[in-house]
Amino acid sequence: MSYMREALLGISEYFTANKLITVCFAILLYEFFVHEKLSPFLKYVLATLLVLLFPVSAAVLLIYQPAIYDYGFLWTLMPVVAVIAYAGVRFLWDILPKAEAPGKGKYVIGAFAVLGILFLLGNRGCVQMVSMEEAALRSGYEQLGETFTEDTMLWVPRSLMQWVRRKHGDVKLVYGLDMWDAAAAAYDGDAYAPELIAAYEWMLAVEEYNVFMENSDYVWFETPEEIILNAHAAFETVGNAGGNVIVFPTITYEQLKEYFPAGYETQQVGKYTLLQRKR
Amino acid sequence: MQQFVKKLDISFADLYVTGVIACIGAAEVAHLAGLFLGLGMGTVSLIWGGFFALLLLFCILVWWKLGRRDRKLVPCHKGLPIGFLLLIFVQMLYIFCMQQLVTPGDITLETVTTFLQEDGIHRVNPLTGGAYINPLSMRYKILCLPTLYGAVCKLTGLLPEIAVCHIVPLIVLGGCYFSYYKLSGILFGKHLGKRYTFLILVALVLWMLDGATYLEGYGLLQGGYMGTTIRGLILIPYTLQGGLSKQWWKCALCVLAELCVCMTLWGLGFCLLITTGLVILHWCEERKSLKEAAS
Repeated sequence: MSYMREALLGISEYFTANKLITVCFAILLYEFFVHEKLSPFLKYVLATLLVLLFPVSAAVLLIYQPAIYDYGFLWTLMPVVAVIAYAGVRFLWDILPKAEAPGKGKYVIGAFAVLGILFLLGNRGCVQMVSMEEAALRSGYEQLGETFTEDTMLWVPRSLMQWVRRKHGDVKLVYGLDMWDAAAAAYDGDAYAPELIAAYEWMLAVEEYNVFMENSDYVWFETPEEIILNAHAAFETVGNAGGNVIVFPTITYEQLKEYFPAGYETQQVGKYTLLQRKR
Repeated sequence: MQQFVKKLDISFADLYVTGVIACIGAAEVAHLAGLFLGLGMGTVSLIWGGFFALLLLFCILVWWKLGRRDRKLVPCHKGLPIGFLLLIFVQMLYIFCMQQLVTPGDITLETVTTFLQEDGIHRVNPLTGGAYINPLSMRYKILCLPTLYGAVCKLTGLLPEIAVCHIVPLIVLGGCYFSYYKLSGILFGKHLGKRYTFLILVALVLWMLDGATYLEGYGLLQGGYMGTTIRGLILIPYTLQGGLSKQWWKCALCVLAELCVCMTLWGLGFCLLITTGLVILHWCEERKSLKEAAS
């Protein structure tokens, strides 16, 4: 039943993400009703479309596909891009020349019509790009990364953690991004101890506090109690796990340092403060 | 050899795509050797590099033996191939110059960096740098793409981020358009104008499909190195072309390649499903034509 539910929700999500799929329906209807015969390619497309739309068969495909992949990947079975492009070619080369309007103007209008449909149904051509905040985080990490050595075992905010193992294979982490990314966790299947999960949740609360502070004009608001009460336990857990370098945004560190345990040397690197365990 | 090559009826596009598949196959062999024999990345890279050099020589030889053939294609307006090449150029610029997004669930770059740092395959958890707590599943262990990319980095000296996020996607982009070019041959025969229009529209549609991680446009522009992208943009169109033209050897190659780049259910992937579907389709068509001939 959960597969059927995932299939039903997935269809709706896919149609929202890919409105150009309507072009596939249009070409199939045109070929079927006007030509009354489908080419082997379109017969395959029609069969795949029916299998993907019918929840029972879609659920069977979800069982066939490893659970690590989303429902949306099932639509790779149907050559959506090829069908949309095929529809455009049929319109421009086979349907338009038969139109009654004289002259080459109809080809220009036809080409603009195709481009317009693609543009409007295709998310107006917007591609996903790295945001300015993300770019600032990346460059902030570049600066930080120069201070790490092969003995470093880091405990960093989540926003920085994704860069550590991508750029530095020698720097270890107390926990990885599989702590919150279920898809990444599906690869290694490792599970973390409850104390480490609690330390991760503590750092998450600090990150949210940091976002609040950076976006607020005032600094004289109360520090959340959970951050104060659990600070020592989180530091102790990380220390037991081998963590020897902890990173905080400086603006947050200055606000919270009175609640942190002693035994750490501090170093300022750009917008961040590093706490290194004293040997 | 010339007779054999002509019998296979292959073109440069086939050489490129089967070359990419062959590289994946070689990487799989090197990966398994590194995994089960405990070989270092240096040795694994040399195994793959040696094969790649042989493959390159073989492809040059085949292309030379193919010679210039008159495929009797219907010529088209020069603007169409120029327009297509311009679109590809813009996509290549985008892929090469733009910063890559971090895709949820993708740990390719971490794995490549870890393989190179530890000089071995799957020795430590790429996400933490520490030991694995639970053993890895076999269907994840056998995936060879991180080893392939690691070998490329080792042999060329490129940083993993450059090789994986900027160079490999360009190769995948080439494979994508060659696969679609072959598919256009099935759909439009020898009409070059329609084929180039098809490719131009494919390029435009790929720009438009960047809304979600499972869409083909996202795969090409943001994650050209991922196994699902290679499957969706190269293997599946090529399987379709092979199946529709009854060149089943292409389908077989794609089925094997998918096993090496994507997690599958005991090797049963999408290419096998598509091949099975096309076999059934051809069987139904033949039965129908036999019935019509009998009546």
